[in-house]
Amino acid sequence: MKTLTIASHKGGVGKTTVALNLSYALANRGWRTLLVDVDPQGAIGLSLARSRAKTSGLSEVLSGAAALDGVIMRTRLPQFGILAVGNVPIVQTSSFGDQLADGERLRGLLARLAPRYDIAVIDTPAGFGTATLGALRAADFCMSPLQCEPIALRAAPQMLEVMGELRGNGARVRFAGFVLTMLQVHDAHSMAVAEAAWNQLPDASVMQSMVPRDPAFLSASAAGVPLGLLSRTPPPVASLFDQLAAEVEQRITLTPQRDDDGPVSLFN
Amino acid sequence: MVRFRSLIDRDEVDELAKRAGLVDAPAGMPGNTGSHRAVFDPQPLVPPGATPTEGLLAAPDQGSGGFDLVPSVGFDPVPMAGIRKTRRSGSNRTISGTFRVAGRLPTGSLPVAPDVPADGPLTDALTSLLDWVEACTGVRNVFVADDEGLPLLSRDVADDLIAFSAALLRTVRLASSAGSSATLDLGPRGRLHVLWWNAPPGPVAVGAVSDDAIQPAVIDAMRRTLDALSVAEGASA
Repeated sequence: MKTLTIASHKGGVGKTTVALNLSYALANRGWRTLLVDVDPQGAIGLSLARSRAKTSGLSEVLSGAAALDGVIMRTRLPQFGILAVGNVPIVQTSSFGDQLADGERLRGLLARLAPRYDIAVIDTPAGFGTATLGALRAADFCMSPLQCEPIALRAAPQMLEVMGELRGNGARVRFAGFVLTMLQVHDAHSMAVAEAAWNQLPDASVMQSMVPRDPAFLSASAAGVPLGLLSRTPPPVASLFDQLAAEVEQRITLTPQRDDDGPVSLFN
Repeated sequence: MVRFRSLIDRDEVDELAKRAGLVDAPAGMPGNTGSHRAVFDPQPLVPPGATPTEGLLAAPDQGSGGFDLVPSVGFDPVPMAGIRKTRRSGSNRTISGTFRVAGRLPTGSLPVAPDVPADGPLTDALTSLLDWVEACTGVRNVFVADDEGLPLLSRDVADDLIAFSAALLRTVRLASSAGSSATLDLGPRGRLHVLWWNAPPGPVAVGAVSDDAIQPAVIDAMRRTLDALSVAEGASA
């Protein structure tokens, strides 16, 4: 199983949106995908469950209050599971992060799930707090959404710097690339930032797939669904995540682990 | 054109990227690699008409708030076909034009070959083909529909299945593989078999709903029959 952490120093750049829709697209393409939320705010689990009931998750597993198998949420796609963050009281946010900080416990949990999934996508809180650093230490790869606004561009080198620090201290995580988000093709400033990122960031560091700002994201967020499930006719922008998933597959050399993989006949 | 002065020290970030273990870009999607740097063109961001398949397979209407990804208790994981689009009222469409058999009709091991006349109205040819499919396989229902989900010929086929077939047709056309076919298991509703035919009036879906799988030889015969038809100019669907 490959592990991909979605991280960014800056908040509001689309980490959760990318994590959710990329995971859904990967699962839709046939990969057994686990979406893991280590953000104490728990945006993914709570919004998708559409329930006021508290959802157990990673926090309960770490504290021993729940078994790992019992908290993985099943979804509409049989090959897509979600490990929500669970209940993390605000006053315990720090201790929750501390449990993840060295990456060992998270890596151990993911290792137990490795036979059942091809890829785990980890959504993180903004910044480089202990939960994010732990998720990076536990991961094989990191991808970073880069909002097409000047301040986000300035933060890009910081992302690379943190990655270098972690690797220098023994982490195996590799940088899979920046994905440009919230691009507004009709806004000169947004396009200028995207072009600057394209031209000024290191070779191969900016991914081919770009995510535009689109009203559909707001609708999907309000509905608590990935774009592909927003309606019976998903918005065209949903197809971009299919492209992003294909690009991620190649960048991290995602390969089938099952013996039964191969062409699937259309006929019986 | 707005341009930002350089915000980044190239030499510095190149070194940072090296230390970060930056992966290689795949050849087909090079990103900002090498010569591709010189060409920043994010358009088109969205392929025209692109529609992810999963949305087409999503469950029937659950209100305007979208479809739950995480099901409630008792969720049936079998995806059901949904109506692709609102149908225009009073839009019983027909397919017009004439045809002649220009190729070899299938013969051989099948019990009965499609009894398609040598020439005549296109609807006659398609009607004959549907007759043959019904007689040969005992399917429940058969239909011909255009790519908007409107039935051209239909024998008691639920509208949502026709609309679903049309949606599949559009998806297949996106993948530039029109001319293929598919069989989908719809659970208690049987199996939906669809062939796509690039007819001169426009692409159409020829479908059948059956309890059991239709023999590949029958599907093949349907395909070869359609391929053998030469449709006169001026036909429309």
